[in-house]
Amino acid sequence: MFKHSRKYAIEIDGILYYLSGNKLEQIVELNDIEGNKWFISDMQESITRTMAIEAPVRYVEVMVRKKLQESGEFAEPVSIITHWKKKKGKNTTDIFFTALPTRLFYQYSDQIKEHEDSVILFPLFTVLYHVLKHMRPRNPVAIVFQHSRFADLIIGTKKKVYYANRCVAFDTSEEQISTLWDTVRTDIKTVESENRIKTERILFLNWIDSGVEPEWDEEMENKCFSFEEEVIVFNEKEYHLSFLRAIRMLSGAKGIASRTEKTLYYTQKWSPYLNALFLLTGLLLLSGYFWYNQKIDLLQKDLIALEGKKASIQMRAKQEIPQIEYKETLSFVKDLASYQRAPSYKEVINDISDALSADMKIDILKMDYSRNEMMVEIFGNVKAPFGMAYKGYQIFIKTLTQKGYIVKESRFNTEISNSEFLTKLTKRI
Amino acid sequence: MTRQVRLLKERQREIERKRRIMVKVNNFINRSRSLGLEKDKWASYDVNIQEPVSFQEAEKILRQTTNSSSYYFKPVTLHVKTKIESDKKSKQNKPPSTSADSLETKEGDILLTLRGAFVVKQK
Repeated sequence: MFKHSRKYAIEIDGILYYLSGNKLEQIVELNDIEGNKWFISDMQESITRTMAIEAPVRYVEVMVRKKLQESGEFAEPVSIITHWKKKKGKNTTDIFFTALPTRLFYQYSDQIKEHEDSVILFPLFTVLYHVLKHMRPRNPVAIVFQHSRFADLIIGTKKKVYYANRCVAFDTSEEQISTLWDTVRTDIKTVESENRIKTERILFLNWIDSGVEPEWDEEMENKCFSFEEEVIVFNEKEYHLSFLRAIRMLSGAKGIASRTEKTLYYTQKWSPYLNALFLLTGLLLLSGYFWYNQKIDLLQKDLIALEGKKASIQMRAKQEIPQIEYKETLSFVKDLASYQRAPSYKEVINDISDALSADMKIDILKMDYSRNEMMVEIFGNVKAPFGMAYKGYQIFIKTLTQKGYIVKESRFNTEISNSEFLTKLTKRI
Repeated sequence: MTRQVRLLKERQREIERKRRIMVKVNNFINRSRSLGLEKDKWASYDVNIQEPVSFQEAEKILRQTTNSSSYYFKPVTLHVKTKIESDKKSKQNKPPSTSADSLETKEGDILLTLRGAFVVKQK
C-alpha cells in the first residue's frame, strides 16, 4: 500500500520520469514533483564495476579512486558509491561500486539539498543489486536491465557480486540491439570462465524502450526468464514493465541521503499514521482518565467509610478504664496468701521427726522462708553400724521427698559405727 | 488505608484484652479492700528469739507460731542447735560475760533462733 503511494523520480538515459501509482510521465526537472520522493538515476557518465583491491576494507574506496584515475577512466576527481564490499584474504577486498565524477556527484547532492522536500537518491545499480539480494540465489544469477541502447548487467549470488557492467550499442536499431545482447552473452560467458562459475539463471528487467529479448542458443534460452511485470500507463499507452516492480522492492536504507534527510522523509511519510496513532492514544488516555476518575470516586467513598471506622476505633481506644492503684494491695494479699500456704515451723519439724529413724539425731536444723520457697538444712549423726545408718538415712530422704520436699544437697559421711549427714531441702510455698 | 484499618483493629483487640484484665484487677482490688485486706489496716508484731530453751519451751513456742483465725504468722527463720552443752563447756573457760541475758547464763536443751512476725488485723 505504502509503496504504491510513494512518488518516484526516475532518470534513465538522460530523460526524467515521474512514477505515481501506475502512471508514468515524463517531466523536465525534479521540482516538477511535489512532496517527498525517491530518485532513481542511472547517473550519466558513471561506471559500475566490481574489483578486487589490495587494501584493507577501510581504505578500499581510496584505492579504487586512485586506480580509476591512474587507468585514465576519469580525468577529473572521482567519487565512489559503494554497493557492496567484502574482505577477501589478508589484504584484499572485493568491491562493487558506482563511480562518477565528483562534479556530478555534488550536482546530485546539491539538487537534493536545494529541493524543498525530502529526496532519497538511488543509483540504478542499487536497484539491480537489491533484486539480487531479494532473490537470495545460492548459485550465480545474472540480472540484465536493457533500456535504449544500453544493457546494465550484474552477476552474483546472495553472498558475492562477481561482475557489474554497462554494455553499450551504437544505436537502438534491431541489428545493434542484437549485437548488444551478444555482448551481454559474451560478458556472462567470460565471467563464468574467469570465475569458474556457472550462471544458473538470467533475469531480464525491461523498460519502456527496451528492445526484443535475445535469441540465444537453447542452453542460454533455458536459463532466461523475465522478472515480474506490472502494467504502467505512459503517454496513454499501457506497458508491462518489470523495472518498476524492481524499484518498488527498494529499501530506503540503501538510498544516498544524509541521516537527517532520511529521518525527515520517514517522519513526513509516517506523520498521518503517527497522528492517527496519537489521536487514538489520546482517546484511550481520555477514556482512561474518565474510567480512573470513576474509580477514584469509588475509592474516595471507601476511604471516607474507612476513615470513619478508624475514627471510631481511635475513639474507643481512648476510652480507657480508670486504673486504680493496685500494686500495694495486691502485694499485701499475696503476702497473706504466702503466710497461709507456708508450712509452719512445727509442721516442718513434725515432717522431719516422722522421717527420722531411731538412731538418727539432729545437731543443727535451719529453716529459712522466702515468699515462694522454704529452705531446710539438717545436720545430724547416726550412732549405728553403717548398714543400718545408711538404710535409715535413705528412708529419711525418701519420706521427706514423698512429703513434697526437694533434695538440693545430700551428704553422708561414715566412720562405720558412727555416721554424719547433711541434707539441704527446699519446698515450694 | 486498609493496612491502617487492619492495624487499628489489632490495636482495638489488644485494648479490649487489656480492658478485660483491668476490669478483673479492679474487681479483685475492690473486693480485697472491702474485706479490709490493706496493709495499713493490719499490724505486724515481730518475733525475734535467740536463746537456749528446753524442749517443752520450744514446743510451746513452736505451737504458737502458726496461723489462726485471728492472725497470720509470717515465718522467716528458725535455727535449732541441739549440741549446746559442749559449746557451753568450752565457753566456761572464757572470762564471764557481763550481760545478764547472754546465752551462757541460761540453761536449755537446744539453742533456738526464731524470727518471724504476727500479722494481725486491726479492729
